[in-house]
Amino acid sequence: MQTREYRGIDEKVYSHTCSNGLEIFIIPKPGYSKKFATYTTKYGSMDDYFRVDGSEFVVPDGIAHFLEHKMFEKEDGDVFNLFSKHGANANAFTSYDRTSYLFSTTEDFIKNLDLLMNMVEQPYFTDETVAREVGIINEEIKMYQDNPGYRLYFETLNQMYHELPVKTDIAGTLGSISEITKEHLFKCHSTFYHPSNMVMILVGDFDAEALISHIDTHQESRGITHIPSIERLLPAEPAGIALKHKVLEMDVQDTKVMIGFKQQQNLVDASDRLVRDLSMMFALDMVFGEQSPYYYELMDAGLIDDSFSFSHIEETSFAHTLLTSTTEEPAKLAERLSEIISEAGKGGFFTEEKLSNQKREILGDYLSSLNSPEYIANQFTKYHLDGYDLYRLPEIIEDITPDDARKHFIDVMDPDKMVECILKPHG
Amino acid sequence: MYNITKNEVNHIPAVIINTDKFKTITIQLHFRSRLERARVTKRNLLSRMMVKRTMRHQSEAELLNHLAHYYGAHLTTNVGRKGQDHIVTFSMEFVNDKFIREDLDIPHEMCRVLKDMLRAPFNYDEETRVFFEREKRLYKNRLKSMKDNRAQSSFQAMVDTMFVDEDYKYLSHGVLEDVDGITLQDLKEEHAEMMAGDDLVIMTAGSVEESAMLDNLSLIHEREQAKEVDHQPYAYRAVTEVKRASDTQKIEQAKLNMGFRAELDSPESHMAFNVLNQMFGGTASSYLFRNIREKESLAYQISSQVDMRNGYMFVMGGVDAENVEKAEAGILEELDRFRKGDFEDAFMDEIKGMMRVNRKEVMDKPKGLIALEYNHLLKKPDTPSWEVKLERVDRELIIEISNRVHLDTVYVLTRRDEDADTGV
Repeated sequence: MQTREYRGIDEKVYSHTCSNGLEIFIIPKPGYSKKFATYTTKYGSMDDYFRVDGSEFVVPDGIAHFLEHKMFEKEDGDVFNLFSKHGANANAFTSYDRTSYLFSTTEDFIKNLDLLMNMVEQPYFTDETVAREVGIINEEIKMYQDNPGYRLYFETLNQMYHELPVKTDIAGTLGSISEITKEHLFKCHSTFYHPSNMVMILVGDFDAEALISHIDTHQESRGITHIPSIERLLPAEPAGIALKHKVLEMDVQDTKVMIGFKQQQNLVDASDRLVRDLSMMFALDMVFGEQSPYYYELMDAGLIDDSFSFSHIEETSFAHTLLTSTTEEPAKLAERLSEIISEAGKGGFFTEEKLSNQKREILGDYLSSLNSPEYIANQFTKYHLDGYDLYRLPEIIEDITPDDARKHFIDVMDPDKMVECILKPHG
Repeated sequence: MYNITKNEVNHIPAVIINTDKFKTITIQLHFRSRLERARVTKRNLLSRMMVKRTMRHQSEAELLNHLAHYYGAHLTTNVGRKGQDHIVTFSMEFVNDKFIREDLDIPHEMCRVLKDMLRAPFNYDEETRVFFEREKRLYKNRLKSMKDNRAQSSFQAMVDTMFVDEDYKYLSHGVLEDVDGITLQDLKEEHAEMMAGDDLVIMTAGSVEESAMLDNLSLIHEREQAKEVDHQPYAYRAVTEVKRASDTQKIEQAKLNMGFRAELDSPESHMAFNVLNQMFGGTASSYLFRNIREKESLAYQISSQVDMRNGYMFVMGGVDAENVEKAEAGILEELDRFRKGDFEDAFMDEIKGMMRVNRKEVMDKPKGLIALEYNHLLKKPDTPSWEVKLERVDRELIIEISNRVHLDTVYVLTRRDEDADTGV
């Protein structure tokens, strides 16, 4: 077991790698009643084309999410109910690049942890249960189709990307999930739910040594020695966008617009991606945030309302920036946003004074987030899988300069890589 | 792990929950008054304006910059209701200075900001008009966008039908049609009323030095005498016939909403109603989730929630348009099982156990701890504790209470007939 201390933020992390490759991190939270566990596989909606020990496989879209649903079902019933019997709240989610299973409880932690490990490690799929799940997931897909924000988001991604599976709904489509068989599920499980492709994070008031020894014994008993080589195969994605402009109609009250900037993922090094991610967060906030004169100009002109939001997404295989708002004049808003981007990029806008105040703000938010075991477990997992350390963020933030913000802002907010999607009420 | 003291500053109750679990300090001001249509929309608009501009910081950017300098302190507001009351809460959350490597008295400064915030509306004048009109536009947009959320809009429609002539239909977020008619003078009057007439409590959670904190809190507001507003639930109204309403939209999935009224007469009966809801549709191991969703595949989303104080239960379902009637019948059948005693004691104990776990988990959050303590303050002094009430809930009480729950309203939002299923 290794121990790492972070004195400035009064935090500590214990870590251990089991002989079968599973990584474990324990983050102590003295005084908390709540104990939180996540068991995550590096397997998400984008991983439907892969090579394992030399053989290639293609599986239907939406299978990672489908598998997540099915893992709760076993021969003797739904494991969800067992967590509840043992006083735990369990859940799971699937994103582009990972699937996490989690629970929280204030009692019987070990019993629930064993339940979590057994549930995730021992698959049970039959033709009947797979067929029934198609109906349930189809309703979930329909529900999202009725959500204007979700529709707008996926249409925008489809305008940015030609091939990359990020453009496909994480749940797949009715067509794709209907093709899923139990054989697909077993294959994906044995490949991606291998301990060497997984990480476990435990947050709470624990005896770390005893806990690691308990997990180690459990993992040893699985008798897994072979560590497979997994290669994720992604289709080649052209640098340019797929479709500049699109109008969508739905039963909505007001018109909404989403503007996307596609960035070709050219950064191989994890720390470079983190710097771009943080620089973009600061840059977008300086230009469009509630402390910026541009924000009030757009607001007073009636071009945006307080649904206006923006974000930069930085993942291993893609990166993009999105801006969205409810607006009565989508064309005018897009035009003015383009002008602002060009004005702000010219220089003099990204100052040390603005940046330093933002850094203080971010540091405060970061410390507040560390009150939450869920936040710690989820973000620690995300940062770890992306190759960074959540608890080293303050040091990296400290080193970001106004030039970093400006340089990345100009690079990412390229008018040639901009798409615009308008969602308006049925005319 | 924490120590609670009840104090009074300038005739205002001030509760301090001292704990070193958190890296932050949270101060909340709770303004409580009776929920009335004439008040609720004005208060939503007013409280939003108050957290954006104060006496010393006359623009949003200026105030936000100031808060950012104090390590991103957050000044927010929200509205809610309890029993017959509407509650406007202002929250100030900031980092405990022990994690900061500079000499900065953050609690003192943040209490000064709260004081400024509370006083700002006394000075609203013609120059405030542009800001006021903008906030009205933003507020209307927020209310309109809630209509685009099918689950929210169908819930609202069900509530409108169920409580057609009762104040309960005015949800805490206000009434869209009332926004335009509000004047700046209305807001100033509402503000004066709130400062003088509301039941105000100051709640603090974090690791603090008590006497210094009380000095800081005394900066926030002054009253010449204590002011208390009594706290009551609505009286039970018997159901004479089931009300039905429906609408259509161009949507994929239908929404089925059902409203129930329960006749509750003791602290235990309110708790039993809560336990019943958890068993019926409040959790992923509930009858509705397990049977209507998992076993019958009649719904993707299905859950129930209660207003425990007032004795209302609501079922919300996302249902295939073809299955609405079948789902409604299925939901009523599940409720009937409790009336007939068709449930295991072990399941009831499991649900009670989960409620204890969830309550403990809430205590790991600053705002959760404050919410529990605030509820505690509102209780009559002779009310048994939460744990005692929960212990008293047994099989007989669940059966009795489920027989006192009556269906009042069914509301369905469904697909227009001409929209054949085009697939997804």
